[in-house]
Amino acid sequence: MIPSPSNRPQPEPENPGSGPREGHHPLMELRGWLARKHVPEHRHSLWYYFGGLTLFLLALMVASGLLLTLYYEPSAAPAVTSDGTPLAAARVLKGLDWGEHHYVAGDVIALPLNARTGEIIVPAGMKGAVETVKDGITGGVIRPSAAWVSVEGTIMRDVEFGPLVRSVHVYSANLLIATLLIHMFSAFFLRAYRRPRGLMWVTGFILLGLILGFAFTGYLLPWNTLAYFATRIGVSLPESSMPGIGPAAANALRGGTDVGDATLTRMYSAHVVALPMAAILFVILHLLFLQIFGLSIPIGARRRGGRGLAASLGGIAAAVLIAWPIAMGTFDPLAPPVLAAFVVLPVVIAYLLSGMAAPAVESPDGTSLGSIPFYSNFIYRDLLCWLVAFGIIVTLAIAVPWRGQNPGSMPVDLTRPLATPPGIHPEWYFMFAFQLLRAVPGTLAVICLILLGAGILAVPLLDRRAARGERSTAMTVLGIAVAVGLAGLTVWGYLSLATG
Amino acid sequence: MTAENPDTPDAPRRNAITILLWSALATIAAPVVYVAGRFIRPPAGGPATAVAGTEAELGATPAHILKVGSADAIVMRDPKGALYALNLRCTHAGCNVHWNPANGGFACPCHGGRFDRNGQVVKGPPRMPLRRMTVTLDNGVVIVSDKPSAE
Repeated sequence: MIPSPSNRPQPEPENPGSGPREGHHPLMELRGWLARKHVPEHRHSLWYYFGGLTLFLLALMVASGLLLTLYYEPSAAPAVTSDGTPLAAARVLKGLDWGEHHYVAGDVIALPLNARTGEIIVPAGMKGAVETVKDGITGGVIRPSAAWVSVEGTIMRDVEFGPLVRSVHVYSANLLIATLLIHMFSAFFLRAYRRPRGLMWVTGFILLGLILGFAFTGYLLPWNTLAYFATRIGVSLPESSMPGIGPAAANALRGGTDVGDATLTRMYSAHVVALPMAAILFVILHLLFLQIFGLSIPIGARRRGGRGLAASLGGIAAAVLIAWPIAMGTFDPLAPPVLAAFVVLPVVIAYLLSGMAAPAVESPDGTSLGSIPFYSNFIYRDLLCWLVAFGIIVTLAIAVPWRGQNPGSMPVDLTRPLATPPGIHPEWYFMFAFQLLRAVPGTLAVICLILLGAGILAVPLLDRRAARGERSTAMTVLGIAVAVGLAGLTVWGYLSLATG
Repeated sequence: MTAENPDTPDAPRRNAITILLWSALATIAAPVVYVAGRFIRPPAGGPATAVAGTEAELGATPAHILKVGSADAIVMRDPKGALYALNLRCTHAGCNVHWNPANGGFACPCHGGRFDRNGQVVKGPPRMPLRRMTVTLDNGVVIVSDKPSAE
């Protein structure tokens, strides 16, 4: 068993009784527990903060998601106005101000449809600035769904701060996945999975799967062509690659043989009910195991050097934030290197600032490693980290608001033939799988992905040397190979898109 | 440990950090609550309108019930022949009142409220008359709006 300062029994200051003392409220016991709890301080303690940051981003997702559910309508049925007039898609031809809103050329909006003439009813202030959107195959009018109108109309235009809340939800989601990946890889390279913390690794891996599930199910909800085809591709992956169980699994996910109204209902249900319930359960288990087993101390950890590591990471993050947009000619907050820099910065800032304010104290048991009290030193560092991360997200949401619309994302009208948007590709976190599918046959790609998942899950069993407190070079090489492989496939995917 | 002891040299610095951190949280909490509060507030849409029919059509019927936005409304004529519209939502607890042509009044099935044909309370728990809606004429077409009538 690896000694852990965080759950090591500390001497009671007075009256070391086992139960609540007479005259003390039971909650005072919590205070005593907090006072006894310590967090090890060493060269790699910086990585501890990514776990807390992941939890904070998850809470931010839940809060912003709860707000979005107030207006989102999970229905693929054609939208109508309050008096029952059908709506049709219209494209803005030139920038204009109408009502309280500003529209830019290319925006797709919903306007009332004259059912008799089959043309949109253009308000007086919009004459000559909008045109009816027709599907490119039959030339029919596109009737947007209630889901699309609730996102692009109600949330993005009608509700106060709607674009801000949606942007916070989108940016938090991307940062959350980036944080989770950093948390997982740091836990791997520091051998945090070794006995007795195997269950923490397993629950963490399940949480990664659940978060990716959130990303996949949430992607369909705006119900535009990009979301529609991304889901069709994603769900048809098991169908085409896994004989036998594949088609049944795909049908269960879709609620039919193709993506439709039932798919939207199922994805919405999973996104706001099933996945949150599972995520809450596994977050509780993960934190419970953390309390039982304590924080892992890396094998052969040394006390000094943490600030140097933090400063180096911060320097790299700052350099990426400056160099990447210059090299690309545009600032995309969701570009993976930029995202990684945004995740690293709050941790580094909180670590360096709080380290200066409250240095580690000698460990109570006199070991060579220092430690800091969980309350209040560690929790304050965590809070500072969350504050910086929140500041970054809100700044991004205001300065570079997420625009759900792009040239490839038109409202989906299931009664009309649909054209796949050109250059369709997944978000950065699924790009490795996308490229793998393009590079190797489907069944082989699926086998590779299953083996990758099973291998990651089995890491605590595979690394027997770590349980004995020894570092395994083979595992380090394996970890680097997986990281480089995933990053390589992602870069390859983006390069393939760029070169057509 | 030095952390919780107020007599250590670290105590003033710790107190300052604590105050700074909680001040920062409070400063951030204020705009967050403000944004969430404004977001939760439903968007203000314009008044809902509905076409009740032509003036001639309505002249043939003593009362015409229609939907105006989310509200149920009734269009009627006063003794002088002028059109007016009432919101059928009972002002007591929100049930829809029934028009009874036999006695020329409205009855609420939920708590026994009674209103006359002008929407004034006759008996029962309601204290306020039925809400009047705006009626306008556009080339002989009667349009009802859920904007409260000035009358």
